[in-house]
Amino acid sequence: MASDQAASGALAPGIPVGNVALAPGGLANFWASFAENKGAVAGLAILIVIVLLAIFAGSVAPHNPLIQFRDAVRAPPVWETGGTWRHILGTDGLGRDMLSRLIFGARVSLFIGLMVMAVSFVLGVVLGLLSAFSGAVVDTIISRVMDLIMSVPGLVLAILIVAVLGPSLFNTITAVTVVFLPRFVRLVRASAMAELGKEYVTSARVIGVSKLHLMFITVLPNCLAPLIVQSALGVSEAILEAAALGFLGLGAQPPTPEWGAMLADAREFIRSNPWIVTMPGIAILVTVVSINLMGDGLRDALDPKMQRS
Amino acid sequence: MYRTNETWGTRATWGAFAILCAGLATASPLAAKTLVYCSEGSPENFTPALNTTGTSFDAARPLFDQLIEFKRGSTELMPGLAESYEVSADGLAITFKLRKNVKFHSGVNGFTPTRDFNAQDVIWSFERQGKPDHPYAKVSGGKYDYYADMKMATLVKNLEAVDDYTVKMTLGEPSAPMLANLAMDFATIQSAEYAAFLSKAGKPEQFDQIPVGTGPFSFVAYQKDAVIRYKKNADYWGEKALVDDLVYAITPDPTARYSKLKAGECHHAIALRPADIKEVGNDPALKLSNQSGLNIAYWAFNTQKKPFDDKRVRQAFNMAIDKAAIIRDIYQGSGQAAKNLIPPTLWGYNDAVPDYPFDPEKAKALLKEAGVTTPLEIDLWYMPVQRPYNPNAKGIAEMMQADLDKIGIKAKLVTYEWGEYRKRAQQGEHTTAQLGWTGDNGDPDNFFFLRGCAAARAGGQNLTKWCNKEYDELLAQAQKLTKQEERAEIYKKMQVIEKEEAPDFKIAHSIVYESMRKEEDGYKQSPLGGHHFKGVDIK
Amino acid sequence: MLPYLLKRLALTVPTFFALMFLTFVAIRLVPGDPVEVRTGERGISAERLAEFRHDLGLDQPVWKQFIDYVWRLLHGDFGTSVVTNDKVLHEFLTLFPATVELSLCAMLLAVAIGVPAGAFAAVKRGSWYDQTLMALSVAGFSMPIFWWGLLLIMQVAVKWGLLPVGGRIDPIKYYFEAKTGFMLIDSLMSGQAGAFKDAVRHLILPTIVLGTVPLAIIARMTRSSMLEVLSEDYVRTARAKGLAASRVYGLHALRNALIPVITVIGLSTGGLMAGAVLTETIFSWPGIGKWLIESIGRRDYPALQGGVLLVSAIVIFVNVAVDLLYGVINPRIRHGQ
Repeated sequence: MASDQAASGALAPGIPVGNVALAPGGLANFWASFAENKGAVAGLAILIVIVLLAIFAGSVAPHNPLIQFRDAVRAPPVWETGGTWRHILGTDGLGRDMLSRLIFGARVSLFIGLMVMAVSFVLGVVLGLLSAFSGAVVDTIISRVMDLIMSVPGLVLAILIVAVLGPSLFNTITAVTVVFLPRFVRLVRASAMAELGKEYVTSARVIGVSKLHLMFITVLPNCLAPLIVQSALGVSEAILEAAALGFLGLGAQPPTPEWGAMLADAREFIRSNPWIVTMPGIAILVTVVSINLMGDGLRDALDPKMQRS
Repeated sequence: MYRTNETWGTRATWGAFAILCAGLATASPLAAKTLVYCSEGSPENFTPALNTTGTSFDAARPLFDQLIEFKRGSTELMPGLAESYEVSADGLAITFKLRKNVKFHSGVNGFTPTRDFNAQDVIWSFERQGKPDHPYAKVSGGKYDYYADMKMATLVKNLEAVDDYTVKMTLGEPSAPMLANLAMDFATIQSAEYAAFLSKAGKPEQFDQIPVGTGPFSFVAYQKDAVIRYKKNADYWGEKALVDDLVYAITPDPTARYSKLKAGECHHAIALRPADIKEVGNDPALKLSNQSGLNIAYWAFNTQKKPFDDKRVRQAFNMAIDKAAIIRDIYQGSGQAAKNLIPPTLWGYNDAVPDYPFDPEKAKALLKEAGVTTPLEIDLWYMPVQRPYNPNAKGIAEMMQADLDKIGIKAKLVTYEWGEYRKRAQQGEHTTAQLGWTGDNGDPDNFFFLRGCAAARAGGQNLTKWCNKEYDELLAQAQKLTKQEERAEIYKKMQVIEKEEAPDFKIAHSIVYESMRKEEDGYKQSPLGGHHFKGVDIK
Repeated sequence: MLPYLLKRLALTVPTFFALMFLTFVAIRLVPGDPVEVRTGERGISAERLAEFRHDLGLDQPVWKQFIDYVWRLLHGDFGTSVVTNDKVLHEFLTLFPATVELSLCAMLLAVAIGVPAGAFAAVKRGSWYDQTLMALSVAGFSMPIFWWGLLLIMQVAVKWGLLPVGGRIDPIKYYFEAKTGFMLIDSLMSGQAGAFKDAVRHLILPTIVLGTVPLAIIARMTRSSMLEVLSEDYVRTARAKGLAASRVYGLHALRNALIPVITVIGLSTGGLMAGAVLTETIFSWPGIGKWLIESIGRRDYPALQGGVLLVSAIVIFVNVAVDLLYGVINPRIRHGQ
């Protein structure tokens, strides 16, 4: 993604690009800077594994995640007494292989995270730039609407939206996107406003560049760095939020192996079969941690203004 | 959350309570005995006539009596506040002789009764529900669902006090179930004098929040979502309370209920998770009681939609599902496989009816014979909530889905918000849908009407939309008969027809478990699902 | 300052109106209604349903319902809950202290541990302590708290039996009037032996669960803000002048480093009060979050409308307050210019 945007940044000739990493040929610099952060590299590595697992779930998972082994319902994981290698992490309340469900669950969670990010990114850029460029009326309307969304607690808003639309994977994505949108809009708006005062924008205006060109080609590339960081971190938050909805029974519908829903189903066995509760939580935690670690690295590498940590 | 002053007891009861607490703390052998019941939810108020939930009825039960009562642990009727009752020869009048020297609770909310219970209270309690101009008709929302559902307004033509201890009820038509109706919670008798007292004080809404009754316990305090406190009514006319204090610890989370029971923080708990019930059975400090629920969980096929208009398809579906696995993995011991619409404890049950075997191969053959081309896509609806007869409709749906997949049926799982779900299913929007039924008067007709033609109309309760002439005629015939043996024979015939026609797949009758500590003694589980604590002791 | 405050408050008015309108519309779009949701398999006859709906005003045209609603709101009437027949405002006010108590405790935990831990990490930058803390903080703000809560319940409450599973106090043993609504204060005032201790025991697990994410964020914020300050000239000067290390870190650096941290604390407190939804649900904590979720489930229109509006009002006002506070602490920012 970074390279695409670097290319579009290069399309605006004569305009200084304020960011080292996004400058043409900056990829090596970017990687060097990213690699300095050991945690970020570790996060990236884990994330790559999870993504690969998700992509190749069909061939990696030991079983079909929907098959119910009626002879092995609530089988314990291999290290517990009574555990077998057939079901390494045990089975759930209906006898479905836990490991396979977790692997397929990665698909669902990552899909939700990426979709939310992609949609909020695009909408956020459009609304944010509109807000920054289209004068006071449009700006006020957009800003107020975003304030409005932010004034309702995120999860309550998401639940309301799902309650209106009905629970499904798609509606989960919609709900979480609505909740996340204001951050993107505000970020883009603020960055764009900051850029507007700069000389290269004024000179572009003097040359008579069209408004659209000014918005998307002149200014946008210079606002991208914080946006990319926000997106990366947003993916992890979207995964958490979606899992919370799933946990409340408002997410992906059965028998889809969604981590939050798996947790909700497992509540019944909190005392008798604790591993059914433990596993999906660990899956969520590991995924979110790895994305956050990677996001930290991205921020360090992309945004030299921010303190390295 | 707890309430502010106005809904709490009076200062006097507060003082009494403080003393009581001090007594508890010292815990000498002579200390007051307290029975703690871990209940599952907060009552809406303490007037049963206003409510429809078991939780609310349970909360009011220690406080009140009815004219006629169910014997503890059975559905048998016995005299309550009416010492005796007499049905006239034409069945159109019932005369109740009221019990004398029955006292209403004294000292609750600053109220001290000046007279004993009498006919005024009976008239007052029924007229509140039936007469819109009654001074309390509109208090606390003023909705009397059971009174309406039981058609009391049309059945009872007149209710009058002949004298202070005689009440005469005149009926529009003879009604055999009327006596049983009067034993139901909605027919609770409340104090007319207390109502007048509150009206005068300008606080009528307290009537349903700070209750005064004649029951074995009197009200002490209620903190919403936390606790209800009662104390023994020493003047009670009937079977007395054996403990000094009764506490309902409101504990909505089943895991928490189990933890409290195990820790000795409560003596009695209901609706534990199936997995935990097993552990209760193994714990030497705890014991279990169980009773077959008066209910049925079923999976209805919409017989007006293809291919379910074909009997063979419905039979094939019956053979495709591994019922034993559902009972084992979902009910986990708190349910028994169902083959008929009524539970085996009900009279008229036909045990000779064989259930369909679990036979996917035969199911496939039947589908082929019926000309169904697989893969076939159907909807499988499941309720979004737990029901008394079905702990996990979603889990069952997922199991069915897996079983159906093996005979080439692709089931799509569908659910709606609970109210919406019933509405749509009754309209017949589904191809297949899970639902169930809980009986409330112990009469088989209360179950069999569910497959009758009248209920098969759009919006009716027959989700199979199956209308079989022979079955329906028998249903009508049985309704007119009065002899139980004759009716039972007809019901047995109907069960055979219905099994052959297979408009639905019967899942289970639940088994209701109640868990208690060993030291609790004398509890009798009610087949009607309520909870009674008079006559219960702590050893 | 005052004109700025007035301007900020004036700006919230249209937000409120929009919010009123949106919650009103959204709730009516949710399938199901408060009457249907309460009836069982038996259902309800069409006439009874109509009667109920009439009583709730649901048979009126929607625009009229809205005008009625706004009119009553302007008179301070948030309506009456369909389920409990209690005034929505009263219900909110009795539940709100529970949420405030939990949020404040969670925030206190987060600040008490997060600030010193973060500051120390900055001073010891690069040490194993720093690295461990940062690793923990990433885990902390990545935590799915509904799972974290279940895990703690499973281990601490169920398996070890150390702490209660949920609720605010053991209502069987301790019994007293809700004078303030804050259980810690009420239990102390009750004078009942052990009541306060029991209230504390009930608070521990929910506080940890709700405090985890803010703790992680505050530790990180403090650390990076501290690092920034430490690299600034005046700190270097102070050190060069030979001021004791503790004075430098303590007074000069930490004070300045805390400015951005305070914003985060303020903003997240508002968020916590409004959004302790999951924690309250898991621990059966009778607060606003749990109430809102249940109201959605019960289709309790008045409670839901009033609840969302009140909660949002709190979020908005906390944000304004934080802005103002920020201006007070940080002299470099002057409002209204």
